[in-house]
Amino acid sequence: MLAGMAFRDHAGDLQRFLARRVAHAQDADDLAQEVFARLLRVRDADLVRNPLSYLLGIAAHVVREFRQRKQHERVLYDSDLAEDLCDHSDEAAAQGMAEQIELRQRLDRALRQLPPAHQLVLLLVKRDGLSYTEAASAAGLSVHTIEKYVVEARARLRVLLAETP
Amino acid sequence: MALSDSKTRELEALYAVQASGWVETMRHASPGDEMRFVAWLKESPRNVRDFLLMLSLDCALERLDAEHLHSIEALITKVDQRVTPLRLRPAPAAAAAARSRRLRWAALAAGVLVAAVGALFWYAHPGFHEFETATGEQRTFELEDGSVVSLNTHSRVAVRLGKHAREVRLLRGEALFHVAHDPSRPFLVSTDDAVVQAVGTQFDVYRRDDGTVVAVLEGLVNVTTAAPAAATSGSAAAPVAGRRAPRATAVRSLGASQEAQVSHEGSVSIREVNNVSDTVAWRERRLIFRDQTLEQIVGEFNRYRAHPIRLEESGVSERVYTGVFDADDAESLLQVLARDPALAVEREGETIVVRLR
Repeated sequence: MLAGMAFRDHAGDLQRFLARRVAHAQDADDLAQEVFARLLRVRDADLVRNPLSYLLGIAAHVVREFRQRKQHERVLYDSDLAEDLCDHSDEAAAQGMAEQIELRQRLDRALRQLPPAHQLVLLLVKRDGLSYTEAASAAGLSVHTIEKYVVEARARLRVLLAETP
Repeated sequence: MALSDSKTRELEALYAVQASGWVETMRHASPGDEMRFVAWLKESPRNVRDFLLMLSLDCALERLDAEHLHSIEALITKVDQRVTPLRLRPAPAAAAAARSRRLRWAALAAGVLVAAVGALFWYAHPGFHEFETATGEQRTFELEDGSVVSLNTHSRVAVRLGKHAREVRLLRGEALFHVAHDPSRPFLVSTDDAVVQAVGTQFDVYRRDDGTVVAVLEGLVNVTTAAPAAATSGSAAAPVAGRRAPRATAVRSLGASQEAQVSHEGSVSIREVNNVSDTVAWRERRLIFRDQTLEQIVGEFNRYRAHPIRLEESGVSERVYTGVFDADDAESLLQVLARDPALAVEREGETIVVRLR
């Protein structure tokens, strides 16, 4: 789970931000637009050395900026900054929890719509944490097929999640 | 220009597979992968967005079914039931084999114009951008006009979007085009054999050793054949000694579910294809064969392989099979062949040889 690892190391913020937005195109579009613009400014020679951490670093930075901007906007409405932030963070925590649960339910619904082979491979690899080699022998498939199914299943989930808000 | 809903959905699915593939690749990326990854990210904000969202989904998947509601055993049983054994059949008479052509090219299209000036014309004009894929690689990218091009394995195109025309030269391999509607700028795809002209539609062009195959999935295209001598050299107009003089170029219209095969000599054969989706099964890296010879089947697999599978002795090539395979998983084909008592599958280093026992 190299990518997942780097992702978590980088920014819990970013992950939470994006996790909620799998179905909300606009925020993700804005974020991507800004990240893209900044990526273009980085020399390829630098970028190629560790593209993933560059990308995630930039993305985490942009997310922080987006948040700050949002908080500034809020201040204009409410002069009682401390109280507002406080309320907001409780609310955010509660909201975060609710979103986690909702996301889990949506994931489960989407999972059930996949072909059995895709379900099987995702559960073995993601839920049960098996390596591809272990999953291959458990499912009686080749390692190559496991990898292919992971790619396909994740893509299908993505489309299903985007279609059912 | 807006694409229809079904196209949009199909495209979303394509982009999702691409992004998901990159998440996989970046788990254990080689320096070459990293370079390609950066190039892909820099193609468009959409790629950045798709990748970040896919990565985020990948993280969320670690909490998949935390309650353990799904049973692995039950799923394994279901999967087994769905495995349909391939139909193995002895080679039928030659007539059947001839009829068996590839259904994947279900629909054809296009009009080819071309080009006594042929290849030279294209290279003489600046402004073309090239895109290519390595063996086994597939890529989808969006052009500035909103058209989308999917490149199959080991393929190369040169693209130029001009004021009066959108020109694509298929230099190698195979590509699927989703053309954004723009009546003022026809979309022209050319090979040495043919030029395919579309305004807004979806079609596939495959540059094979023996000619060019055009399949139309949606809409209409015109196919114009090239004069035979056109492609080969600068003295394009002069008939080559010992060959027929170039016939007049032919323009044929192709509609959805039609496929045209254009030979190097400029002959065009058009046929209806029943199963249009087979045509572009390659985008899911799936190879579909119906009553095709082992020679054709292995030829398709070899497009995806660095080390080709070899068939020895003539009796092997003509055997006919039907089946659905993963393009990346030649093992599945070899397992099927190994079960055929008449065949022996042998490995010589990286090379695989199939021969009669």
